Amino acid sequence: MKLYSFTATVLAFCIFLISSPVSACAQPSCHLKNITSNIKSQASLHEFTQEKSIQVLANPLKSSGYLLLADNETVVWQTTTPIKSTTVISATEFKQFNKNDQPITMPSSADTQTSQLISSTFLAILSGNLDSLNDNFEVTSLCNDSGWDLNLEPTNSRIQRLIKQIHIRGSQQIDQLDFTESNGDITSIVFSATNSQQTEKQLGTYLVD
Amino acid sequence: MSTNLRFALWILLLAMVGGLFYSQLKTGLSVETNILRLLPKTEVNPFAEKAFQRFSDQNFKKVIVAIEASTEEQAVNSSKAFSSSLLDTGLIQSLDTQLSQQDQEAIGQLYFNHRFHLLSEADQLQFQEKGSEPFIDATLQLVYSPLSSQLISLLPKDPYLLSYRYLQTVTGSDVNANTQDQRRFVDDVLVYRRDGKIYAVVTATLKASPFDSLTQQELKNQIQQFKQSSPDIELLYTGAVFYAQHAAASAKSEISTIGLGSLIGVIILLIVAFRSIRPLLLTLTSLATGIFFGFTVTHLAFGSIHILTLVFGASLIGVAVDYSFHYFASANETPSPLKKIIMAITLGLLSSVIGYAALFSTPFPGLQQMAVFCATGLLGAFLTVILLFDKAAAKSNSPQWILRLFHGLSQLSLIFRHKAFLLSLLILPVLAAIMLSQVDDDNDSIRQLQSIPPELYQQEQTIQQLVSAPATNQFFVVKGGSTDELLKQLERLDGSLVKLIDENAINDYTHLAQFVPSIEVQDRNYLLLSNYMDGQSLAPLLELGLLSHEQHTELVQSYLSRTGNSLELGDWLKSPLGQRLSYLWLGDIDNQLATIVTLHNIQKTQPLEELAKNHQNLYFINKVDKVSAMFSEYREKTLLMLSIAIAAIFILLTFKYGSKISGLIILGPLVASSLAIIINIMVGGSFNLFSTLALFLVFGIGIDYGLFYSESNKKNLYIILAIGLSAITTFLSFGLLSLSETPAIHAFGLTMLTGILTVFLLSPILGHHIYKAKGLSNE
Repeated sequence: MKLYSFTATVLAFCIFLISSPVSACAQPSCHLKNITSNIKSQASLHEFTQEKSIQVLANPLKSSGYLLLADNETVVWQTTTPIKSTTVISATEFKQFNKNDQPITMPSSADTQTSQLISSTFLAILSGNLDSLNDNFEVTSLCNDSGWDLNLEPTNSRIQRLIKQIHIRGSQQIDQLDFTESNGDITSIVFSATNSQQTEKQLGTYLVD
Repeated sequence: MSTNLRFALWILLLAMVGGLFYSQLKTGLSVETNILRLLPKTEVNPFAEKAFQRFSDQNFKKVIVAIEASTEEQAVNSSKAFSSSLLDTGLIQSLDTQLSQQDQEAIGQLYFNHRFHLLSEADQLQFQEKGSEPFIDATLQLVYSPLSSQLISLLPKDPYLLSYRYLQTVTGSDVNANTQDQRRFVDDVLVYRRDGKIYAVVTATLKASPFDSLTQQELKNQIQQFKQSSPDIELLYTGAVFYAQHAAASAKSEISTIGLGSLIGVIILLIVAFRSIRPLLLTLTSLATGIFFGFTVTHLAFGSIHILTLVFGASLIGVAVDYSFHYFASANETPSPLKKIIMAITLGLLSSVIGYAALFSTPFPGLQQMAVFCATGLLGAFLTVILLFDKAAAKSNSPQWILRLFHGLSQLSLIFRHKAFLLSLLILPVLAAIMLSQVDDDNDSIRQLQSIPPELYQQEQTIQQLVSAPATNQFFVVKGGSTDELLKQLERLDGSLVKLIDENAINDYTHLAQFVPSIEVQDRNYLLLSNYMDGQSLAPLLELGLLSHEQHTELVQSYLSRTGNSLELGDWLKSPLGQRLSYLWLGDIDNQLATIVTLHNIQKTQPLEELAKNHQNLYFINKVDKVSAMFSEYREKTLLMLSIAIAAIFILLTFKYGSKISGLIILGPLVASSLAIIINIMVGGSFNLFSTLALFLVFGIGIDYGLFYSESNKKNLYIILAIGLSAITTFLSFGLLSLSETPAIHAFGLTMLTGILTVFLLSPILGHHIYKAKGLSNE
């Protein structure tokens, strides 16, 4: 039984995947620079649908919502269905709000070592420190006409304990992110850019506090 | 008594002491280096005293090392290398790193097993005020987070994630107590950032006592080696073991300096003054016998001998040699010197023993040991002189030049023989009294007993600021008949402790009930949860399919079957978290159970004392302050006792010599003591207990000098020789003692040095007046 909240960790993953370049491209034809610039020019607001296949549950858990990438390396992740909840994450903060937008008093797990390691590593990557990534993952890439595929396998034993593999597919932007956890649970998130002014404004309000 | 009979008696005595020594040798001789063994019991209550003992024994084994580096990576890598090299030495019982994955899982499992009984205070309140909804929301939030399946597997059995929440609360209160967010774990290593510097901190617990010399040595070597192999990092360390190592090393070097220095001085003086091998051998025999007596009796009486006793005892050589000097000085003029000096040296022994008895009368085990060592040592040397010397003695033949030298010196001081000078000296006691009344008590500190090298102290300060460890000398002890009674008491204290935080008396506190609530509280939690196990409370989870109806039925059954299944302290203490915090638990003391409440960053002790006063089974341990207060109290008492002793000696002497000669005998040590007080205050800014105690010896030895004059029936060059020689060795011994790094011993030595020097300079003048009073000629 492992008692951690890995929310922060995974959101950090997303930030990294959406906004950062990836090094160590295996094939010379697959231009990492292209991927990087493509990703960098992506939209700031995304819609997502998430499907989690959990070993202990008979049916997959489906949810959907929005993801806002703000300028100051802060992300707002809002699930809207089946229940509204919002998470704000940056290098220094991790805030959660319930369906009534009240801060959640869930005890913090920021001191547990593994989630700290993961989130700090990826927040470091976010700020351009790619060395950390090479320490913890082996990255392979595949490019074709329609887009690119990145495959990340953790080399760090602590991350390995949680995550078996991460797979990202994209073209102009990240289209899909799948990851397999070490216990066999699979999460698949599909992104699509959107430009709803109203949603962007609504999510932006979480950045103010 | 015939010479042979006395010799036989001496052999018998030696054999007896030898037998005692042998019996102790067989059970093992032990030299104690633990500073705490020197300290008086400060707690009125023996229970609190034992509780302190048990806590400090444990706490003394902690070693904290901080590695300062320019980058985090370097700090982490160096600390890993250091940790493994430390483990390789085999000196370490455990490294207090971040709990391992297995440890965390074991703790999680323990709290999970008792999840229906454990609620944090905030969660109790939340259930009471808002019901289950906030908990359901939190669960859903987690469930739909991208990565949270580890916790999802808990849902069927713990839909409110109570075990997870409680665990977060307790580990949060453990880990985050009173630290800013400047610390974090990097790859198992605790890293701090402070003032732009990066430190990796390693905390370890030693296997053996920090006073074990092998452990001290090997640890020191290990650190030395590591420092050399990693020149680009800065290694800071603290822990009782380092202080103990330093104290033991400096004590050892001081014993040899003082002992050897005095011995060489004695040997040179004997050779120069008596020009014969026999006085030398006899004197060394007398000294060896004295030290042998002192060591054996002290070890017998205390079960061990403290290393500071030996430092102090090394100065014995300079005092014990006096009897021999008197014997051989007198042997210049008579074939049977013992008869001439017996009265004087007996009185001398008595006055010294009275001086040491004053040390013994204090409630400080350390001083008692020193007193026993010195008194029995002097007795041994004295007995050797009176029992053995006549057997082997020969007439001594001191060179004329040395007699003339000492005589010249004494004549020189006769320039000051005017009565007006003597009377003017009486101003010194008045001055000393005025100065004494104005010194503060700052120097009556426990730290007087330990030599603290500044660099070690500096490192301790840096590390303390970094890790904000709980205070180790100031904490609460709680007493109770059962574990549950203890936990209940701790819970009742919470209100008062929080108030102490609000009053800024402390920053934070830690106790066991924060990790294991009392049965009463746990049963109340269980009862509270009975309202939220029904389908309606859990409806959102059931509707979303996160909890099936079968799982719900099982949950309810599981809840019902766990009635009375509260978490017990014993089980918790066995868990990895309990082991980490085991210092909070003192266990059984005198058939009562005891636990402690550690306090962080104590600002004011007064409110803490008061809290303890108002609770029957609560004790506030404050060893440092209490010892210091005792030192102050005894300093004052000692001065009073000294005054009484002076008066008593004066009255006694009056019966034998009349008031005029008695007054002259007393005047020397009185003026000497006063001058010692004045000089000590001028040099050190204070006059502490140890200086005060030295005054007893100044007095004893000062009176000796006066008595040697009073006892001689004619003006005698050989008295001057004996006094001169003994003064030189006394200066040597106590002068060396005053170089000690241990402040208490330094103060003692300095007082002795100034006091004896004054007595020595005054004695010819006083002798002159004594002779005059006795109607003897002065030429």
